[in-house]
Amino acid sequence: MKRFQFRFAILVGLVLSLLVACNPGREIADNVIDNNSGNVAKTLVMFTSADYPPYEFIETVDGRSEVKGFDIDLAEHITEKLGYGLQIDTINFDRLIPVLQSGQADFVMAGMVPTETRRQNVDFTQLYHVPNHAVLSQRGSGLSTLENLRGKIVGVRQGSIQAQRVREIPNIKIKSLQQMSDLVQALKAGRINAALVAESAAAGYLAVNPDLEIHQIPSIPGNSGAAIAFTKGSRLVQAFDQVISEMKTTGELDQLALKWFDAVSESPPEALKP
Amino acid sequence: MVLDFVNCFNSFFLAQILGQAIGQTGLVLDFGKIVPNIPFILQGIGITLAFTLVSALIGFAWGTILSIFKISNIRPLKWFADFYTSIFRGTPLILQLAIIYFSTPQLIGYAIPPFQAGVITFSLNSAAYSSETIRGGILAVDKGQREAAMTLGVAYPLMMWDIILPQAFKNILPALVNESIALLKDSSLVSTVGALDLMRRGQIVASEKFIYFEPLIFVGLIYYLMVMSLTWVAQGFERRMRRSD
Repeated sequence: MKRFQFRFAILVGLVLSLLVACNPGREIADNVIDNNSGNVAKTLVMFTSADYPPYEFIETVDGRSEVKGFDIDLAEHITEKLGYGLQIDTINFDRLIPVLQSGQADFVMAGMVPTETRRQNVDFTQLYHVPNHAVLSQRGSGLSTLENLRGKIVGVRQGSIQAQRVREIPNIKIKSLQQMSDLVQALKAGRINAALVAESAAAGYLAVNPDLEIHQIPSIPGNSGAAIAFTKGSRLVQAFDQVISEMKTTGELDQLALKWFDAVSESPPEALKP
Repeated sequence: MVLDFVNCFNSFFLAQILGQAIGQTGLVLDFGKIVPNIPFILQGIGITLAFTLVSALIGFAWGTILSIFKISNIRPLKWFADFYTSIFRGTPLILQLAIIYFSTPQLIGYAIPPFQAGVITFSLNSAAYSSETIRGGILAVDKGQREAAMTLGVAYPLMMWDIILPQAFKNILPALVNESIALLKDSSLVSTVGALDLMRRGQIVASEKFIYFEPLIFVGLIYYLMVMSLTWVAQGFERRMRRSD
């Protein structure tokens, strides 16, 4: 009996490997194929990086979990208007473009900036949100403008709008980190002198960390904001674009921004530039 | 230095017990903040355990087959097993996971779920490591056992299955437990492809609550307890096996 146990484990392992190998899962991208042939697909798969409140985060009270945030509300609104279902999956921010390319996602919303490099790999809608930039630093550091940041070590969220903006500042050491919370810890530990962030995303951290201070900096006209990303050549781009334009004229987009960015910060909600 | 450490240790536990800030400076921990999120984090135990168990079993079975390839006289099988091991030991686990997760949909048009991608990667990787352990175990079985079996006319498969392998496994149990513990902790890598395991749940709560250390320390404690129970179970298992000596 005792000798039998190991051999039993081997057999169980072999059976399990068969099960894993044969397990039917979700077939890839019916939707993508449907989009290209022009038919209406049932459910669109959206990927996001749910670690960036209030844009997207997971609410986890009482053992239940739900993805929430500005981007999520907007995605629900658009897909509903276009008659699609919506399924939301989460993954790290730097994996969002790969899941689009591999066809696992139909679209990606994560406050993503349409940079030149990204445009070569995926398609974007127009901007749906242009955030205020702000300098986050330790209280009393006196770093309140972009000018002050010269010669300092400045942290940004990898691939964010601010990561693009920070390159305009001469003589600066840039440190890009994965998550907003990583930036806050780097700041508290003194590894960076300041962080260039979206004001609305920093508000929640400011409330929890009284040893930090924030200064809004003037935004540059035409400066980039967030857009929705699609697989290259997806026909959904146009439809999504149209709904965003409608929401801008009816003021629904402003209302949505008001709901999310007012709920977290006490600062006045940021105005959207059409 | 030692005093500093003790101080830090004390204040850490004080903060934990009181659930409040220790002062103006230093590491401020408030575990009270994550109390409502604890059920969500705990649900990750099942997912982490499922990853570990399934991967350990498949890896063990596949590793046994590979080890038999390695000691066989058939050259191509030996080459294959050696090449396989060199690939999986020679590249980082996180890279293997990323390749399997992202390339499968493009190669065969199947949107592989994170759980499957994780189990496949961990099994294949663990098999490479344990095949070497098992090979060592087989070679350590006294030569006389094999010779006696051959003299008695026992066929090769039966000799392996009934005589050599059971003795080999008994000797390598501690090494296999090591492998399972490594798997349990390495399973946290699936958080990078979006599976909601313990680690990822800790990170999610961290960003939801705008905090950092509390969920991570809590998750660390759960990992520690899981590894401790695994060690404990393995020790009992080993004692039972030694009884037949």
